Amino acid sequence: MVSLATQNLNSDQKLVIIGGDSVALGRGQGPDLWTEKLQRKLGPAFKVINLAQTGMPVLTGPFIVFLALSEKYPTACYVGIGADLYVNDLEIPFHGYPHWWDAYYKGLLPNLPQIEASINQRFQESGISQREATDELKLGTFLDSIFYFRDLWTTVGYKWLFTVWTPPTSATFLKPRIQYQDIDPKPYPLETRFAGLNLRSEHDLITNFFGAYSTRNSINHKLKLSRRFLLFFEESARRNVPENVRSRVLTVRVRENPVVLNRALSKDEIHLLDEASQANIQVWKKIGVHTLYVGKDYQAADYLDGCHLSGTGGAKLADAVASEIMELK
Amino acid sequence: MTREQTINGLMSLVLGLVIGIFFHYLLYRFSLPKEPFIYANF
Repeated sequence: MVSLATQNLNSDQKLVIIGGDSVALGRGQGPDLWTEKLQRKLGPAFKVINLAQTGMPVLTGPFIVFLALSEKYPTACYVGIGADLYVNDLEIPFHGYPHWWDAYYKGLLPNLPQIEASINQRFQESGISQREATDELKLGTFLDSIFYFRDLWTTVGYKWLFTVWTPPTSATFLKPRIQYQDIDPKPYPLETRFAGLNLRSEHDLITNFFGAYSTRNSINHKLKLSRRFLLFFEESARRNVPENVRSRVLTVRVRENPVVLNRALSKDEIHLLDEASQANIQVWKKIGVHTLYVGKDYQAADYLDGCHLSGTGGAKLADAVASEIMELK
Repeated sequence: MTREQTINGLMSLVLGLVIGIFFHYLLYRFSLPKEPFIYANF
């Protein structure tokens, strides 16, 4: 990913690395991708690269790419789009992708004593099974820093011969990955777009993190934000974003489709969601990270489903992010 | 070096390469997550 980000980068261009979840990825937008619009908006003085992956938190692989390049490219900035208060620690692998240790053993990271100290501290405090899992992960990434088996076999699988059986590729699983189309649903016309939505699954997707960051009032049973969780989130944000790069980091939260919100969520739940967004903004601002909350004024046509943006929504997001990037130091 | 020795040397080299590649590939397979995330449907 590091070499991908710096490929064809001119010395006078500013690098903009995009990370986060499927909203950042632009799922469903096809060639009408929001980051293409962002690139056009920012012009040739910038190079925008979208490294987001579905379901990922704000600080994962693409953020580690940014950290790896932050010293060599002092004008580079990072834009992370994701859910509210979605905690992640950099070295914890998401779905098996050990980005931190991979970069660490390959010598790609600058000196980050604060992050390393917090990793060591948590390692000491963790249980035996967690330690064993971390040790195994470290051993695997250490070996890869010598033998580079991931790079080699991923290239082989991508270009010539895919050797891993998966359900979607079961019929012709040996075909190289480059020959498969990415799974990107085409948008329905606006008139029928939200008619067939499964409100239960939209509800579950939007309220996915409620269990982590909210509690119920013992008297009136209303949902409320957990103060303990907010402190934990703030601590996590502080320890994972080094102070010297905070002015070059922008976190973005895109509010869900108002039509789907009103149909799938109760008033209490919508209130909690908005409260969590405000708390999210406050935490990032408090530690000196730029933050943006968009979508309050977006229309149904700006969405493809409950949360993913359409071409028009993507254009609005690109406008907002471009203005904010111009402000970054 | 006799012809037999040359053939033995070549066969050892080829076999060594095959075993080396196999173990290299094995390391890659061990490092893969149970379900490659790019195929997860959201």
